[in-house]
Parts: sequence; C-alpha cells; structure tokens
Amino acid sequence: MAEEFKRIQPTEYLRRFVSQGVRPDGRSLTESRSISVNVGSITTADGSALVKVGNTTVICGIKGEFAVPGGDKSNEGYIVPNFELSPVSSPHVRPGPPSEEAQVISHFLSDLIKKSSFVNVEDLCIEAGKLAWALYCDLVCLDSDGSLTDASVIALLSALSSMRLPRAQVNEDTGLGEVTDTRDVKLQLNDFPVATTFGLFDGVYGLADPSNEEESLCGASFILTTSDNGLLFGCNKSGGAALPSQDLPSYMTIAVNRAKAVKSLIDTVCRDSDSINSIRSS
Amino acid sequence: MSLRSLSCEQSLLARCDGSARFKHGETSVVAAVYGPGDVKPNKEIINKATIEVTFKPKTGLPGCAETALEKILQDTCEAVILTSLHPRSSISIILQVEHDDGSLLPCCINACCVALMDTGVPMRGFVCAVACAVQQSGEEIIDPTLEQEQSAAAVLTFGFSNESEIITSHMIGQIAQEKFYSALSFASSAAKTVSDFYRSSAEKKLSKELHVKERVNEVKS
Repeated sequence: MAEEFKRIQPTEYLRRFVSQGVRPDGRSLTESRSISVNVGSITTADGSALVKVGNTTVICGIKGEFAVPGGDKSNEGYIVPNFELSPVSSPHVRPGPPSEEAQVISHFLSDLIKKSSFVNVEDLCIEAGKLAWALYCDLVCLDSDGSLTDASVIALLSALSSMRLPRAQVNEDTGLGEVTDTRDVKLQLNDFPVATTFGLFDGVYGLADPSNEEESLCGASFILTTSDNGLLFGCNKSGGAALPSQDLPSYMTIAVNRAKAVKSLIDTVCRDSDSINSIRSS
Repeated sequence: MSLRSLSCEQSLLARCDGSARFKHGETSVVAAVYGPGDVKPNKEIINKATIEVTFKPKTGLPGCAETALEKILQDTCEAVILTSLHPRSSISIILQVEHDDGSLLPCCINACCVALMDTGVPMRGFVCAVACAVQQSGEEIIDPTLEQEQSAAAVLTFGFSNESEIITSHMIGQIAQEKFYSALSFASSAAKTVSDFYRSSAEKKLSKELHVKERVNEVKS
C-alpha cells in the first residue's frame, strides 16, 4: 500500500513524513547520514580516499607531478581537482565528457582550493621559480545518492590529509627534479571546510544531507561549507524556492557540528593509517 | 555604502526577441533572449518551458567556470519565469561579457532579468542581485571592483526576490559567521536600489514607446 502511494504521489508521500519531523529512512530532518572514510586504498597514488555518505560513494586519487611555477606566482605549486560521474553511479549518467553537474562540482572544489586559505599552495613549492608539485586530484563518483558535493569535499580533504609525497629537490647538474624513496612530506591543512547540502522541501522544511530521491522532490537546495571552528567557507544556493533567512543560524549550527564530526573522523583515520604504515615499514 | 552607477539599455539587438545591456560601473554584460520557441526533443519538458543559458566570457574558451555560472543563471531565471505557461518550449538566454570590473555574477543576473522583461516573458517577479566583498580588515564593500574582489577575504553574491527573500546566493573565500549576516543585510538594502532602478528603466522605456505611439497618431490624424 505504502509502496504504491510512494510511486503515484512521491511528493505527498514525503510530505506525510516531513510534516511529522521525520524522513522515510528514519532520520530526523537535521540528521545526516553516516560517513565512512578509507584512506590509502589506491597504492599507486600519492594519496587516496574512498568516502561513503550513506549510499553516495566518491573515490579521490591524488597524483603529484613536477611542474614549473608560473610567472608571478613563482613560489606556489598547483592543486587541480577534477570530478566526474561514472556511468555506474546512476542511470541518468551517460558515458562521455563531464556533464554539467560534474563540471559544477569540479568548479566548486577548484574555488574552495584557490579562493580560501584552507591549504597553502606555497607548501608545494620545491624551489622557487624552478620546481613545484602539481597535485592532480581525480574524484570519481561511484554511487550517486544525493549530496555529491558533500562526499566529494570529504574525499578531497581525506586524500590531501593522508597524502605522503617523497622528498624532492632540483639536481644541480641536470637542472631536473629528482625524488628520494622516503615518503614523509605531508601537506598541512589549516582548516577542514566541510560542505553540507540542505534540501528545502515545501519552502519551509530544511532536510540535511538529502538522498537523491529527497533532492529531486525538494523545490530548492543550498550548500553551507563550514569548518569545525565556525568559519564560513561557502553559502551556495542556485535558484528555486526562497530561503527564509531567519532559519540560517540553525542550519549553520547543523553544518558546523557535522564539520566537527568529519574532522575528528579524518584525523582518526589518518592517524590509524600512519601507524599501520610505520608498522609495515619497520 | 552604495552601488556604482547602474545603467541599462534595452532592445539593442535587432534579431533577438529581447535584449539588454546592463552595467555596474565599468562591468558591462549584454544579454539576449530568444523565446518562447522550439526546443530539441531530448530537452523537451512536457509541462514546463526549458530554460537554456549560454555564457560567453570576454576572452578564451568556455570551461568549467562558465558552465557553473550558466547553471546558477539558469536556476535563478527558472525561479522567476512562469515556465508552466509555455510547456514544450525553450527560452534561450545568451550572455556576452563586454568588460569585467568586478561584480560579474550580479551584473549577469540583472542583465538576464531586464532582457527577459524586454522580451515580455511572463515572470512572477524579478531577481535583484548585488555582490558584497568582505576585506581582510573586515570591512564590507558593496558592488566591489575587480581589484577589491581579488584582495578580499570573501566575495558574496545574493539575488533577492521582490519580497527581499534569498533566491540565489554564491560565496567564495572564508569569513566568520557574523560577517556573513552583516554582508547579507548590506546586500539586502543595496538590492532595493537595483529594484528601484529596474522600475525606473521600465518606466523610461514604456514612456518612450507611449511617446512614439502618440506622435504616430498625431501624424495620422
């Protein structure tokens, strides 16, 4: 009975739950799905992370390559994110060049890296004007079940935190870069900006971390990017129903609490990964 | 705290159904609208119009940044156009940047709205967009220039409806939460200036048309 009703009247079905302060999967309106992070699974990459937020799965692999720093930014390296949706993630994704949805997320990650100071690109410089690291971060969504931006950001942060680069220097004779075998160069993150997507249902109810079904039934959605210490890195809303600005403080609190949980999760995972690696190498 | 001088020209292009050039100081964007018209079968929506936005930067080939901007503009326009009045049709909006001196996204949103008004597409209201840059010192600047944007800690763009509600919002950089609320309130009051400007430019255009009609009637009689 419920199954047929859900098929014929999906919006009304969701409304029956949301008006009672709960969602079909049992979560409250402000509750996010459980997050799991696994780092270092891609051994050929310099850093990698596999993140699951509920069913949404994003994998991030980072490869460091040598690059020459550009003209006026001679002491900076590069971090180049690229997000794509794999056809396995959803029946709506076709093989081919990145869709509009994928490009929007790539651009979001690129803006987060370039325009905020959560990571210092100066740390990637090996020798000013001559050699720097260029980190190519490739993110692939393997299962698309809503809030892709959230999962992508967590994957990127986890991969950057767990990444270990080899020590590099410029060979004085050849002028080329060369690396040692030890992998102990870490990238220091100043902040952990975590994105939280909210779906706005009926213009009134804010659903934190909506699934794909919930997102499709919401009239609008917005993304708040916050760090655990309360700094705001983004408030992005693209059209749709109006957002009541008096509700913003409560959404910010939800986002900051989620950022705290994600940061402690990433810290734990990276620490465990480090200790496993040191046991292996000794 | 005020915006730079706003200026707007309508019906400047002959082949489109509607067009507008909107300027915030030196930043200038031309928007052209074709529609409601034919839509490709794969893009057809049975109960609504399909809104398509093409954004052309001043130089270079369009990339991810341009696609992201097109998505914001498409969603913003869809929020105010009465799409259910033109099912299985398309409304195409093309934007060309003539000069970027900061506040490009609000200028584009405003140019879209005026061009749609010029075309006569049915809308439930306008979106009045304004940018606010928060400097490293914490000072808020409304309608920043390119130089002010590049040196700012954060640049926030807001698009408000006629009822001063947030339809669209976009932010880059990082700031404390309190700064966000103060930037939002400055932007909200500045958006009223944009809204008054829409009204006065609409009145000017209609009074010109009325004047031309009266002259034509005089000549006939």
